[in-house]
Amino acid sequence: MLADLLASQAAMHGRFGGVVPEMASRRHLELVLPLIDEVLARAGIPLSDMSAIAFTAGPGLVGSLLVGATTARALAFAHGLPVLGVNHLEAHLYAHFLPGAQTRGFRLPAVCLIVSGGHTDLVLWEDHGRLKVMGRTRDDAAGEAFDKTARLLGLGYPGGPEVERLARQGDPAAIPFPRAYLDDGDDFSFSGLKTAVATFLRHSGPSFRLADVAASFQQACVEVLAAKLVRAACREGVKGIGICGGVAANTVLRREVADRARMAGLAAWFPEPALCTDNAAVVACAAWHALDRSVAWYNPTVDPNLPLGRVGDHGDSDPGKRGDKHENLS
Amino acid sequence: MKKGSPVMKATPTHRLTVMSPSADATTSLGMTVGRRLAIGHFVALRGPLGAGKTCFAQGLLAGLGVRGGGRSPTFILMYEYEGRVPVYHLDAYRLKGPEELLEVGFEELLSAPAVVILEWSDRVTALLPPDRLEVELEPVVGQADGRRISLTAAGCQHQVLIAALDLGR
Repeated sequence: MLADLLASQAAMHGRFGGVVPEMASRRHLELVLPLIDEVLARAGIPLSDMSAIAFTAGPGLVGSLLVGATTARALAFAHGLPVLGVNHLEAHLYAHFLPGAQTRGFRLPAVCLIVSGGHTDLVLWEDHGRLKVMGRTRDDAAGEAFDKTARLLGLGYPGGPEVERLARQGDPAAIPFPRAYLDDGDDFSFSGLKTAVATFLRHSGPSFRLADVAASFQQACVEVLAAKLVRAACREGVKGIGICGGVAANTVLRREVADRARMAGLAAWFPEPALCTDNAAVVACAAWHALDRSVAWYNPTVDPNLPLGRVGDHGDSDPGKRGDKHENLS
Repeated sequence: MKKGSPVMKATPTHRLTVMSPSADATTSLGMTVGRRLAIGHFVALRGPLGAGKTCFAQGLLAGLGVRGGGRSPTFILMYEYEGRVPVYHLDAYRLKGPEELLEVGFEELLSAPAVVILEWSDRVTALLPPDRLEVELEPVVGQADGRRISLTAAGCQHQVLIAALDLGR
């Protein structure tokens, strides 16, 4: 990896002015070309030397997706390069293939958990381009539960790191918050846990420590995530597990996953925290592996509800043949 | 009265207050409302964290014939569904102001042939259409699971909706 830049990075703020709301497609439009220039300058390679240009095809907000897709297509056309649409969630998974202290030796098949503010998806990753969504959240994503619990506790944003910091001084066994195992299926539910925290705070008076609430909430959350991940891997007979997405940076989750993996005799991989959140390096990595399989061209359109497995579904670039082979991930 | 069925109390024609004893009852009230929603209806949900907006919205979506719906749009901002009619499920929780809702194409949604459900509508009051159904959920003091749910219709299209619900008592 030579260069990876994020428009919302602190260093870019001075140059482009203020915080970038990821929902604002107009801001995307203003930022995308300067950002591409900057990343090429840092890498020291001209655009014409690239093997391909990749963009996020979905799932996501259609306005923002279109900015990326249109830019990628225009640049690819101008430079005679292949252009690839990559699934946002599949890209997250490719953090496992990027350099890191705890990703060395990662190999497929594996069961991976994508856990962020918007997603909690358990994926059986059989091979490049072959993915199956085993389970996902039915209501709130785990990262959303962290964020909303932070709000309930009067902590700042982003909520995940704030809850984790406060939880370090708390007792994770202080309050028995509910664990939603949902009849032992592979789906998740975190809305009830958030409500349990709200109810606890409303009814318990001042006789508790906020740090205990944070630690107990976090424990309830990571236990369910880690237990379901390990159990799914054992059931599918794979040798390894991994976690990616913003919440994968949580050290208590990493420890819980590592401990349970060791007990189950599984290898556990943890991408670098910076590569767990939204970034372009994972999109490039996913595209690189697709090129490797001689998949040089995809139908370069976007789909706000793009199911995992479709864009990486090779030999089928007919946009009319959008099937139901995989569960919709949106 | 058997446990789990909501107790309804109606005041004039445009407002209905319901006491929901449980999360399941909140979901089924949502479903009752959802079954009667049609193109052009706008449902604005508000209430504090953990008040039951997710449950109510899941009920609305089920009543609209959406299968497997109801994941929170807080971070995604918008989910789009095909039920009996097209449905847009939005969430203003993370928005810093009304202009950010405009960025996702909110104005186009208002004239789209669809049902629009918006959570945390109190964050973008200035953008709400005049004809709408307001749903306010609040925890009942002294009860862990009890919720007071107020349905208020603004505009004639949604007053008809409430009147129809009232008849179903």
